[in-house]
Formats: sequence, structure tokens, C-alpha cells
Amino acid sequence: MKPRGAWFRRIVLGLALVYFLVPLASLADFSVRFPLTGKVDAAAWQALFGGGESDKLSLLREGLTNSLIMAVMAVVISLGLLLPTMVLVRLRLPRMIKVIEFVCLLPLTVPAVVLVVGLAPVYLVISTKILDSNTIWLAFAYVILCLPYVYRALDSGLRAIDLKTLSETARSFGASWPTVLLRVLVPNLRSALVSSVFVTLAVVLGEFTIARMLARTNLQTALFEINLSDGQIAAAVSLLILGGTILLMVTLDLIVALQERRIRPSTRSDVS
Amino acid sequence: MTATTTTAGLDAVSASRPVSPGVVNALGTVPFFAYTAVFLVLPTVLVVIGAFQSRGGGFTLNGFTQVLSPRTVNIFGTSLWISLLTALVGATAGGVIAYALSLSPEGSLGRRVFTALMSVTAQFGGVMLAFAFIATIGINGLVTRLLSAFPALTPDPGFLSSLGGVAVVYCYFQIPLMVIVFLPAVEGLRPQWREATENLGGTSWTYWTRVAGPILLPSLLGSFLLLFANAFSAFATAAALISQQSVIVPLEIESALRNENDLGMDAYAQALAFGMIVVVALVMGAYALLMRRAARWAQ
Amino acid sequence: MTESVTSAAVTLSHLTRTFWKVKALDDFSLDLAPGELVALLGPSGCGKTTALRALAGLEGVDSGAVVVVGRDVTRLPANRRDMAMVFQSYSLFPHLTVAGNIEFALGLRKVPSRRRADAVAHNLELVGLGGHGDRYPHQLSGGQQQRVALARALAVRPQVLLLDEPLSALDAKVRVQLRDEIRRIQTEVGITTLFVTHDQEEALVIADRIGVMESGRLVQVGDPREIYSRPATPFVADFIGTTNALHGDAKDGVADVLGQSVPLLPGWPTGPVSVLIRPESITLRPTADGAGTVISTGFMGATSRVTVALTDGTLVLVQLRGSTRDGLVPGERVAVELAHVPALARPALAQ
Repeated sequence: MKPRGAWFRRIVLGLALVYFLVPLASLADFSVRFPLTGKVDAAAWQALFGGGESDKLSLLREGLTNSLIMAVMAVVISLGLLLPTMVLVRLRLPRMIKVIEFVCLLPLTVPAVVLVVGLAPVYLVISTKILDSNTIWLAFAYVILCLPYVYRALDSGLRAIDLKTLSETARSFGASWPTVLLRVLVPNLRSALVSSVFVTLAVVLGEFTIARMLARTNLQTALFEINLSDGQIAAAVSLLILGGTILLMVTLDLIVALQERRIRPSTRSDVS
Repeated sequence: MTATTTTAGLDAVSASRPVSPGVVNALGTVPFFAYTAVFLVLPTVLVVIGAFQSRGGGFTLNGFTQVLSPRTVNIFGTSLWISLLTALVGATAGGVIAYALSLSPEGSLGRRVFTALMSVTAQFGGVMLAFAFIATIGINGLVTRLLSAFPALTPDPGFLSSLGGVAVVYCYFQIPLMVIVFLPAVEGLRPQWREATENLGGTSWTYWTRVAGPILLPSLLGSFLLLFANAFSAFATAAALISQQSVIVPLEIESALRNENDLGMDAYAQALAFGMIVVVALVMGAYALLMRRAARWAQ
Repeated sequence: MTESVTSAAVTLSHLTRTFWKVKALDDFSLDLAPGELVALLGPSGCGKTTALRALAGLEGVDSGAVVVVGRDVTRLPANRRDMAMVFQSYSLFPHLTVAGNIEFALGLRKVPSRRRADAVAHNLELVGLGGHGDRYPHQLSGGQQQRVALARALAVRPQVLLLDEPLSALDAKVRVQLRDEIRRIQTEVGITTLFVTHDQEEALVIADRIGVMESGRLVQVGDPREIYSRPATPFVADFIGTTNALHGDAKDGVADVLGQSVPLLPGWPTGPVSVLIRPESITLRPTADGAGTVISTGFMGATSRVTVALTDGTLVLVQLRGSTRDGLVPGERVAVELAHVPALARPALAQ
């Protein structure tokens, strides 16, 4: 390792770190500093955690609840839809692999803002004739938004294991397909599944476009509304979400790394 | 020998089925295709058809006529321009950061944390990001206050709600996206290539211009295209920062959807969406081709 | 057609290199005569690759000197030394064709463009890949890629050729084929070569001389026959080929093993010893009261391997010519007869 490489690395990464953390620090500052008077207090935070009821907070609560429910729904639907299909296709229908891949990567070409134009009539039918106009049914559309990322995560996870051998071995011992999926494949796909869950969570919690254009309330639209009346609370909530997500992501990453080291310790071939 | 008896057994079982196994297997993919048909294909088809369909159901080119109006063309131009700019900035800064990251020892704590930070910031919801920047360089922002002693450096109060401000915020998520997408390519540079170049008589310059550069080029270009498409499709950030008029296509789509009942706005939103699909599809198509080339060289 | 290459004499003297408190090279000295192929052999981590990279200039040394054709190149950066290296894997640049890879190297060495095409063609022919110039590395097999890497290295006519375990990443069959070819080409071109490997068979087959390394030190240097039959230390005896350790009693250069006299190599200790005997230096004769019992037999085509247990529990591996195995059955009693060939002895470990 060349010594000058170390300096370059430190300076670049150090600057980048500052660049990425300053906005978060600003959010913290903003949340305690009343914009007009410059007075510093923790009023926004107290309002958030104090439990006092207010319109703003109930809107926030509604948005948060909806988003969390939709996140869970999206995780369940996307994994439940994609994992069995991908396993099936890899084991039995290899010619369909390309087709599935194409469909899963299609949402990258149809951004949310475009999709929602076509979703408007679809959701009109859903909210009047099939279900109701509850926000949580947006989860169905959110699954599509997450599709490319979940596909990529599962794809790299499936490539890393020997799918054919694992499932054939389990089957030869008499396991049913659900057992194979849940007790053989899922434990071996842990990191792929964790990153799928994470990215789905991030996409759903951060989704604004579709909810806004279809006039529903989710976390982001609620935040947007609150900001119009109380910027400090909006800043505090944003900081919580952003900071919390970073911490969560880093922790999950470390846990997965530690687990992998236990399952696959690095072995050096000792040759004599 | 267990394997052959197993497959023989499975074959025997399948052979005793009245329906061919191929059909049964294909049926297993039905849930997936049905779901994506309703929530992905159908909306896309509705957009495409709707772009040509008037409110009464007849054929119309009104949508496209509107799209080709000087005002809308200008909006498209702005969208393309901001996407190009932020993709360039993101690709350059992100590329340098990715290289710096690849120099860090793999699996070290610092590297893992930094990579996790990049993954999260690339996905930050546009609304929260906009707030963060308002808190930083807005009128009452932290950095604005810190720099108020130097009037030359202080950000203009209206900066954030202008195009320039939006571009700056875009860069905030473009750069980490570049790092994530480009890092694997940088990591794919084998140390042997550098050593072989040195061993055969080349310098650092030789290595970068004739070995690493050409090898990284497809990934670099591909990542740039991905960033371009990403900026072009972004809505939330601009919506949170700009309230007055629509300066980019996604904002115009929102306004078009809201004005759907105005006469003369038939198929306008759909035509705008159609236009976006065309642009993004072209960009992503080029991206796919470049990535295939890059993959061929990765041994 | 033999290439006229300036065959270089190389001297590595007293090289020392420490990484993280581990001595990768410990007072390492080795000479290479012009045109000679020396193999550096040893287990993982013994320092052989470090020695090679120190010669190449890719690794620095804490002390010692690297001298090539009388010129001290120790302080010279890698790209100014006139050497060429073939790596274990990823030798070739993936974005250039086979011909492009070789031309790249020629360009770096300032070979005029009009002569490059000929050099490319000639060297590809040399390695048996004439006509493959337009292929890309990813279109070639592992063995072919290494041949191209060799062609590229030879094309620049270096003073020294460096091979860093070039065959280790290949399939067994390809490995055997390619190692003979490498030897043939190296002899034909007459270039001084340092070849690093952990495979003792490889070293024995192709090298003019072998240097056996352990923990950064050169333990023994000699031609293959010498290394094999007169190992300097038990480590070398263990590492090269297979060997049995039989108990004996040593006195005056001769050891009493299983009631037979075995001459010992110089440096023998006295008293209770372990005598290291090669499997092919033992014969077996079925006898009702023999010292050994056959445990298992394995037919290997030209030879057979028989495992015999002695009365004290020691297992002995014996190699016999195929035909002589006939009739040996597990459970049979045999006399274990040792050939009258000098063997290495080391003091017996406390039981």
C-alpha cells in the first residue's frame, strides 16, 4: 500500500463525511432554534415526546402509522411474491429467468411520477369498487417501486448459494417445498433478505410522489404538511428518521458481517 | 447414487401426473405475472394509450401538441439540463470517493460504516432532504448563520427555491448513489494489473490512462447514465423546495393531473409521462448495454 | 530457432524483510546462474513469493542487496528493472486482446511499432497460440491465459523471468502439460528464471536447482536429485515426497532399524533416532513371522501403495512396482526389508 494513498483516502473520506453529516447537524440545530427570534429551546422535542395532543401530531401519527403498515405489507408481498417465483424459475424454468429479470427491472424505466399517472385510474377502481380508499392500499404500488432493489438483492443472494444442490438435498430427505423454502433457503439467504427488508423499508417510508398525487396521507406527506405550520417539529422528525435509519443500517450491517464470519470463517489452504 | 434415485423418483412422480410438469411449473409464476400486470404493466399501458386519448375516448394528439409548446419544451430542457449537471457532479465526486473507499482495508469498521452511510443517503426521501438543506443553507440555516460574517460567501435567501438550490440538493443523493453503483467496478481492479504494468515498465500515469481508465470506462459511463435517469425522475425534492411554478417535468405532471378537468388539457399529463418514459428508457437501455460490456471483462 | 537473450546472473544477498513483526525474509541469499531455472519451494507463508517480489521490485527490502548482471538494482523501482513476471492469476489486461496485451508491453519497452507485429506473432507461436491474437482474455481458458502471459513476458526480452505460482490456479491435467512446456520454452530461450511454487513435484520436474524455504529462510539449495535423496533437514525430507519415520539406534554412521543396518547421511546423531526412509526404498516379503502386518493395499497403475503396521504400531507406507503387489492381502504378515541407501536420521522424539 503506497503511503500517499493513505493521505488521499483520509482527506477525501474525511471531507465527504463532513459534507454528509452537516445537513443532519443542521436539522438538529434547526429543531431547537426558533427561526424568528433565534431562541433556543427544546419545545419541538417536548411536543413530540411529551404526548400533548395536537392536530399536527395526530396528522403525523396517522402518516407514520400508515407508512409503517404499508412497509410491512410491502415487505411481505414483495418477498412472498418474488422469492418463490425466483426459486421456481431458477430450478424449473431457466428460460424465464430473463423475462422475470426484465419485468423486475422495468420499474427503473417507469419512475414513480410516471407510474402514478397510470395508477390514478387503477386506484379509482380499487377505492370505489374493490376495496376502500384507505391509504394503506398504496402498499400494492409500493411493492412495484421496490421490485428492482429486492430483485437485485435476492438475485445476488441466490447466486451465492448452490440453490440446486441445497434444494435437491433437502427434497431427497423428504422435505416439502414450503419446508425447503423456509427452513433451508431462507436461513442461507439471510443477508439478501435483510437488505431487501431494509431497502423496502427505506423506499416506503420515504415515498412521497404517489401518496401526494393520489391525495393520501403517509409519513412524507404528513411531514410536508407539518412543515408548513411548524418547521421545527418537521425538522426534529426528519432528523429522527434520517439519523435512526443510518444507525439501523450500520447496526444491521455489522450484525450480518459478524454472522457471516461465524458461518464462513476464512480458511487458508495449508499446503505442504 | 442417491441423487439418481431421487431424480428418478421425482420423474416417476411427475410422469404419473395427468398434466405435464412444464405447465404446472409455469402456473407457479402466475401470481407474479398477475400482480405485475395489474400494478406495473397496466398503468404503463394506460399512460401510453392515454397519451393519445381524449376525455371522450377518441383519438387525439392534443396531449403532444401541448408537450411541444414552447413552455413545455423549456421545462423538458430544464429537466434534462439539471439531470446532466447533477449527474456530472455526482459521477465525478462519487467516483473519487469510491476510489478512496476502495483503498481502505476491506471489512474495516470505518469502511463498513461509510458504505452504510452511503446506502442510506442515496435513498433519503426527498422531502426530508429538502428540510435538511433548508436547515443548512436556508434563510435561518446553520451554515447561513455561520457564514453571515462573510457576505460574499453567504448563500442567497432565495437560492434553495431556485433551480440552483434544487441542483445542490440533488447532488446530495447523486454522490452516494454513484459511490454505491461504481464501487464494485473500482474494487474489480485487480492489483495484478497495476503490478504487471509496473513490472513491464509503465508508470502510474500509464496505468491510469491505459489500463484502469479504459477498464473502468464502461462502468463509469453506465453509472453516469443511471445518475442521469435518477435525477430526471426525481419529484419529491423539487416539490418540497419549489412552490410557485413547475420548472421540471415531474412538477408539470403534478400540475397537469390537478388540472385534468380543464378543457384543452386532455391527455397532457399522459403525454408528459410518455415523454419521460421515452427519455428514461433510452438512458436505461444504454446503461444496460454498457454494464454488459463491463461484465464481460470482469473475470 | 533460439532467441539470443542476454542471460543474466542474479545475486540476492542477505535480504531481510519484516511485515508486522513477522520475518518474511530472514537473511535470504541465493544466486542464479545465467540461463538457469531455479525453483523456490515451500509451504504457504514461507516467504518464497516475497523473495520473488523483492527481486521484481514490487516489494522493498529492509536490508540486503539485489544484483543483476553486476548492477545493484536494490533501490531501483520495479518499472526500471529489466524483468518480466507471470502472476498466478489475472495476469492479462481484460480490455485488450491477446495481441494487444503483448503490444502494450512492447510499447512500454519502446520497441518500434514496425517490429511489434513480428514479435507478437513469434512469441505466440512459441507458446503454441499462434493465430489467437484477436481473442480476448475472457474467451480463453486458464491455461491459455497463462501461456499468453508467458508470451507477453518473453516478448520484452527481459533479463530475468519471474513466475509466481503460474500453474497453481489451473486444473491438474493442464498443470502437468503446461509445466513441461514452460520448461521447454525456458530452455530454448535460455532465460534466467525464478519459479515460485508450493508443489514439490512441479519443482522436482522442471528446475535446474531447487531452493527450499521455511519461515523466511533458505533451508537447502541443490539440484532436484540431491534435494530428494539427501535432504538436509527433516523439514525438507517431509516436504519433498513422502517419507516414513522408523525407530532405530544410531552408532558410527549406521542405524539399526528393524534388525537391519541402514547407512546414514552425514550429520547423524547417536542413540535413539527416527530414520526417514522413502516408500520406494522398502520391499515386502510375505513371511509367517514377519515384522509387519499389511493393513491396506492400493493399486495405482504403474505402482502400488501398501500400508503396513509394525509391531510397535508405526504405520509404514511402501511403494512397490505394480506386479509385485500380487498376493499381498490385508492381514498378511510380511517382512519389511530396507534398501541399503543412505537415509536421514533425526533424534527420536521423547515418547
